[in-house]
Amino acid sequence: MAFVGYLSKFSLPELFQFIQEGYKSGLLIIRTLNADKTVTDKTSCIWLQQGRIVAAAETNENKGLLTLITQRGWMSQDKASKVFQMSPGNMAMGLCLKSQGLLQAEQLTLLFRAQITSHVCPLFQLREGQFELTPQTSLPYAEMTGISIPATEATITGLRMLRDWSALQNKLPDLTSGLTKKIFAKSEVRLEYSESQVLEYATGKMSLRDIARTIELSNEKVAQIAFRLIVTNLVEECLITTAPHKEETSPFADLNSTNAFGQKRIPQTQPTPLTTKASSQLSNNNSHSLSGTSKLLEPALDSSPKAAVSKSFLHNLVGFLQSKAAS
Amino acid sequence: MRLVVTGPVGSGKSTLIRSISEIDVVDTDRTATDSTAELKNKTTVAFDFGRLTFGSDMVLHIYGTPGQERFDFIWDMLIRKAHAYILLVSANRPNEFRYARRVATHMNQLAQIPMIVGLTHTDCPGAWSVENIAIALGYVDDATRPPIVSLNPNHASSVAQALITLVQHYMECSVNDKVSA
Repeated sequence: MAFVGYLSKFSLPELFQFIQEGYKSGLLIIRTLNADKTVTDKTSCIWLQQGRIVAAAETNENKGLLTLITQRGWMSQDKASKVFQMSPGNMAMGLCLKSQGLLQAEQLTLLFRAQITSHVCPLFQLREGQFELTPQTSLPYAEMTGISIPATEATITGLRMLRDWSALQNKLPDLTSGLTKKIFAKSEVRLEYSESQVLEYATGKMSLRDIARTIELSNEKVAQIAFRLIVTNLVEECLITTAPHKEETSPFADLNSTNAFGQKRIPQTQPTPLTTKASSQLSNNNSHSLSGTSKLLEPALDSSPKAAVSKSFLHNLVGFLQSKAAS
Repeated sequence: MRLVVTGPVGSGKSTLIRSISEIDVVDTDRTATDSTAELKNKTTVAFDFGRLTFGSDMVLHIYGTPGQERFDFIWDMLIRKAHAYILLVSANRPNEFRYARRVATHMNQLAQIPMIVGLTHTDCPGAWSVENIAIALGYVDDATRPPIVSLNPNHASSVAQALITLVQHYMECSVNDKVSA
């Protein structure tokens, strides 16, 4: 069954990351949409195998690679077609022509690069697009050079070339966020110097704004680099804690005080989460004014240390929840 | 025991706690003033609190994190004291998957405690499959993936079922910790 979505909801870099991490195979069709979300005639077809891009073309008519070869004057369409038709059915056209001495390895590299730069890279600036991923068992041998790259390598290539980031602006990490390196991250991508610099500070302790200041790049550039590293699976975005953690020593919150949220008083012996003072301050403020210190809400939590929970407690709780689930 | 419910704005955190709590939930919902307003009129600015009492002296506390990222210091306080947590994700809002993934990363940085993923809105148009959401959240290895359950935060029975999964996962993790120690 085809998996359909919109780039405005799940961007192409996210989609390629998803494809690579999920080892997805099949045909990905990207359709450009008009401003009113109607589909235009403009499409791009990208073939995937186990999370890698194996070919890309404008249409799904098996003529893209032939066109690229003939455009370069390397051989006629007839000759290439005939040689390919005589080959065993499970060989990429590029490899087939190379095996006959008609194309060199460097030419295959150029052809594959042309597929990526013509049919994949421009998609990153699409503001409105629809994607459809159809699992497909057979490979598009007529479109394949025999070369493939991980989907996220196309992402980093495309994003490096991107001049207008407006389509991805709301996907960029916040400047207050930090980065952490992924422990098992393996990448075939060769990083640019500025990307390596940002990666060096992916310790989870420094905000992007601080990284930008340290390596003397603009905030915007660092956010774009960080995004490239995130969607290439090299780092994870993390939140930098704004207030240091402090063990609480204050007694339990006053539970019987009037609740300043306009809710009824809760007569019980167990702690409620907010003290009168904290809740009063909350009720008197709107959401913006809450950005004060964490001290305001600190007494709100039950201050007892996190103790291990006994087995009998857990068994009783499961039994209790089972009765709730059944009711 | 303290459990935390976290996730993006509109994933159903406050609703979940209201559905299961025996007390009137102490909430701090206020009129949303930023992009959150596109999703709902009110959002939780501090945290929600609910409670379940069973037996004579056994209490379960449930805390819900704020939906807005700018109050992340509250998450710190909540998660450091929690025994386990549930990450709620709306299955029909792929634009929030990256944020949910970031929340999980952040939580994991603060405290390595058992967690499960709770998928809401799974019956809505455009909802992703469990398998695809797991990948989008970065859980690509079946062996290390946390339990993922679908739930309706409006129904107490559905919430109870999800909490059972969370508590049982906590029990399994406790056993594994003891074995490895």
